[in-house]
Amino acid sequence: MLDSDKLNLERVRFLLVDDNPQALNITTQVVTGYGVRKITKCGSAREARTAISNMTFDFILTDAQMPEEDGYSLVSWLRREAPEQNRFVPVIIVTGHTRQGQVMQARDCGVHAIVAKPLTPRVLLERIYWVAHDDRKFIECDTYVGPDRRFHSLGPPMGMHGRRNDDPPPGVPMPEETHDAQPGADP
Amino acid sequence: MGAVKKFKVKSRLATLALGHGGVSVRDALKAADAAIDNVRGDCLTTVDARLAEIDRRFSATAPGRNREPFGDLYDLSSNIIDLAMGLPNSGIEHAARALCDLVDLSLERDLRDWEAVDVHIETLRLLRAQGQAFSPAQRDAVLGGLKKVTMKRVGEPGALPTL
Repeated sequence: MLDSDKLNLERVRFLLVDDNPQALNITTQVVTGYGVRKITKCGSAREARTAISNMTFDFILTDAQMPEEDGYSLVSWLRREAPEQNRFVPVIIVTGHTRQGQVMQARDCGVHAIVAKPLTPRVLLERIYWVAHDDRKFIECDTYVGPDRRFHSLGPPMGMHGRRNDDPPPGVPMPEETHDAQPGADP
Repeated sequence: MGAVKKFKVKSRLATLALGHGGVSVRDALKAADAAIDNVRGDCLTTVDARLAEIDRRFSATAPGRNREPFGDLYDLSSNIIDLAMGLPNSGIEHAARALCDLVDLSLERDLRDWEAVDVHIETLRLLRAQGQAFSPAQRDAVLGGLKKVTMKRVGEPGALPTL
């Protein structure tokens, strides 16, 4: 992402979910700075479920740790049970710390990206930009619904290293090839 | 096992965000940074309140800390991470994350190591007071010490996947 690149978020409908009103306010201020004008704010996963059931969103940003129901569970529900118009919407989860017991849930809930708190405007915008360019296929099977967890030609998110030894450096796209060709690859 | 379906989804985010018009990344970040500056003071006030509560309920001088729900220490520390932009370049979010690791592992393994907790609380205090004046090497040394304490007293956390 270059400083001269343009992004038009004015007509993108955002759903922001965080149980901490102060954190929710900060996120709202940040995305408003990006030019987002259509923002729905929810203070719990339950409120978010209601909003998702009644409105159409183009992007969801949710906190991971929330009482009663966490962000991972919300995204799992979204991918499997939400109304069709929102089921495949891009989602970023923000988290300060991932509990040991939630690691697999975080991997399997069907989110597009996870961003570490505290939020910085640059990192969040980079992830939104990356998600907007994300052309991964969706996978739907018994155990997983969400974007393909293998970063295909897109490469890992900006600033992050891929996990394979032969992954290119951050910011360099992966060479064109299909993962379907990989023997024994998971769905 | 059911069939695996693979399909493309047309994203409205992509259509709208990458379409005509909009603002440059430079201008978007400038506006967002200005918005953050407006709330930095409030964040710092809340961070201080959370530190004071941790002190009052969980520090070495807290008389009833054994009776406090240990999970509350996780929540307080997690809240400090949320609002750590109030104290940029202090490293306080890393110390708070280390305390979350410690509490999480302690809860999983049914341990309470108050000496390890004390070291983390002292580090939070230190970084609150002087973290921004430390060099990156000094901050790394302080934070590296926390990892060693947790590994020695509670155990090694499992590796988190990179998504």
